[in-house]
Amino acid sequence: VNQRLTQVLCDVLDLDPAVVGPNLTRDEVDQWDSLNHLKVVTAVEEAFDLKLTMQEIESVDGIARLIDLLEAHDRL
Amino acid sequence: VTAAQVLRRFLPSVLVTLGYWLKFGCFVSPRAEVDFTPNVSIGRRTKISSFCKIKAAVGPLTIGADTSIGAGCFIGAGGAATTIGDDCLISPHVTILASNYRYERLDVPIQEQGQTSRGVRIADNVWIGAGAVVLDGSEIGQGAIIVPNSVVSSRVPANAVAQGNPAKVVFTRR
Repeated sequence: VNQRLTQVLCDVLDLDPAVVGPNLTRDEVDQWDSLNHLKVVTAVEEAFDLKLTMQEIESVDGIARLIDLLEAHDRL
Repeated sequence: VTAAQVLRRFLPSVLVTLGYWLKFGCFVSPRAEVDFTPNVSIGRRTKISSFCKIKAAVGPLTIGADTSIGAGCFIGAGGAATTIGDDCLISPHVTILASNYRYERLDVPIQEQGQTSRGVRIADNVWIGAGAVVLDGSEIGQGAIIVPNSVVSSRVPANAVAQGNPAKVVFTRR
């Protein structure tokens, strides 16, 4: 996983960088609740300078989907 | 003792409910305690739930239409205007305080130094989470969401989701 994305996720969700992998999903992270989800999205948007739509935000169910979206917006 | 204070204590709550229904077409629970004064204006179909206490003896309080105020809320209007827009959702136990005590002097008890009021402005379609506190001088923009237990003390822009003490924007709705 991209280092900047890992850093953003670790900062917002207080995660150990070692557990951040492309297969990590929202369900596996206790503190990734609806409010922290919005914080994750805002932090990712700031770090990668992009703006996601509400549908894209709601579709994020884990790191794999975040990577997909960043690639789709040419940010990775 | 002002007329509003006498009415607050002795006017049967069922008459307050009936009075507000006839005057504005809104529903004030007979278990709520809402000052019955010309200072208060409430829009049609707005609901004020049980155990709310709404004081507006010293200043104007305007609540829009189709707004819902949950159980146990406290709204204390100060001298300056307090406004709540249309279609707002005020969750249970939200506190809206539109005045502050003055405290410049050390030799006089705070409660004897008088109060200041800048007013509170809450725009349309605002959702305030349970237990949040909105302090005097606050302004919450249209479509904003306040996370439960946050403390709003300044300006929250339209469509923002704000959290914390003091409430900071964590997301912007789109």
